[in-house]
Amino acid sequence: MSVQEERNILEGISRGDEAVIKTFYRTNIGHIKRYVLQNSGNEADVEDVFQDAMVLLYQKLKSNSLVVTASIHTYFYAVCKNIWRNRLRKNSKMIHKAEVFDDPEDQLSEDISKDIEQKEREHLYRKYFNKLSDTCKKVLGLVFAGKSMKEIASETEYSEGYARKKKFDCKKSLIEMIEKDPMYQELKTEPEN
Amino acid sequence: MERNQELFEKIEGYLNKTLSQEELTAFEKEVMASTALQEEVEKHRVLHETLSDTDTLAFREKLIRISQEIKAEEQATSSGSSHYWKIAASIAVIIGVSALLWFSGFGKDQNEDLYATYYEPFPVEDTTRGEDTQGFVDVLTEYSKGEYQQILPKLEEIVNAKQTDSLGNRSSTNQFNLYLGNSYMNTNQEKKAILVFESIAKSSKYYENAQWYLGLTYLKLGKPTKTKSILEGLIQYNGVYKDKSVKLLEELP
Repeated sequence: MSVQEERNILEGISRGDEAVIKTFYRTNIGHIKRYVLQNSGNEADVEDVFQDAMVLLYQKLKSNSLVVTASIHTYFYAVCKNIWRNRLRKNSKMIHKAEVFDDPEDQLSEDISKDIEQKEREHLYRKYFNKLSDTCKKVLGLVFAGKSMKEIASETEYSEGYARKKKFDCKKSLIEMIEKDPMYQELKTEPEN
Repeated sequence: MERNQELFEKIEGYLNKTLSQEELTAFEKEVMASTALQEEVEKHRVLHETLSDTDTLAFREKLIRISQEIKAEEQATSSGSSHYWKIAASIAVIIGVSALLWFSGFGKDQNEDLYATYYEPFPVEDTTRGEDTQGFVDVLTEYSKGEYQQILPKLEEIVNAKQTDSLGNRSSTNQFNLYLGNSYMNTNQEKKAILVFESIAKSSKYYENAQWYLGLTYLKLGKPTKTKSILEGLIQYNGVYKDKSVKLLEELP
């Protein structure tokens, strides 16, 4: 694949161009599927891994922090493999920790693993945000969108005092749910380097 | 460190840089003195950073939609090609499988019995508050009456509309996906039901429900092996479907 073609793909993904993403999806899903299914995953895991890897790629493109030394497809495949191994390891399905990053096939692993840790954390935060009550989602959604308490009060038709209390209650229960997830403990105890 | 409203507001003020100089100095001193507080501030920072990124959320929803489109297209092409050989192969498989089932004493009937025992339509839940519920209510009333065929077009429309709305509430999309999947199950469109249930990601609060119905769909299709592996997943997930999964798994051959 030419440099220009690669650039077009990356730009398309960054723009959120559906046609480009669709082609990219078709080209790569087969590889990823085979890998995940062969390593004790199921169809839903395939989707999760693929989409998490796409999000990671998208965010790196958006922040201009993507350094690709191999072809984009090789890079993407390495990201997917690492995400999946990381999850397997955290689920203790894979016992030998040493196996995880000692794969001579992809030396990209080292660079990628840090990005993935960060992504796993985000994945967890989004997951529990979705589990909140609708009221909490609404209030916190406005908070995270940067609205002032006055604006939040007027949009929810709560008094400002009640909106503040609600915000605290919701945020507290969100943080507590996240902390209870075994994956969070894993992420927390991992040395970061 | 006790979590209270005052502490949270101080942390937020610190992160948003809205504390007065005096408050800031005092808070920084507190932070320096406590690792627990440092961790707490970091948690809040990551939380705000992650969840304020609606751009990424929208990108992710786009991916889900694209993946569904691709799956639907694949389904359409694979059913169109090499028809003759497929029929021939199916007949061979049917003969083989029936012979096997005949001898093993376990048949389609038993799968159907188990399906009938365990299947209950996904119950109607409250829709998201504040959402435009006009029209949804009617569909859901019909759904609870079992008028699946009738409401299918409307349900498909709702799910599509929710998916194209990039900022749409994903959990409510998944809730409607469950109604849609159940309606497919009840109108002999199992393949479509499978696609819908598979589209509900692990991160969704409806993932467990979707897996349960996915398992039952395979049972209805007479594929208990697939059902088994899904049930094992549900048991591992250790949620509300665990007990049912254990029981059903025991009853499967």
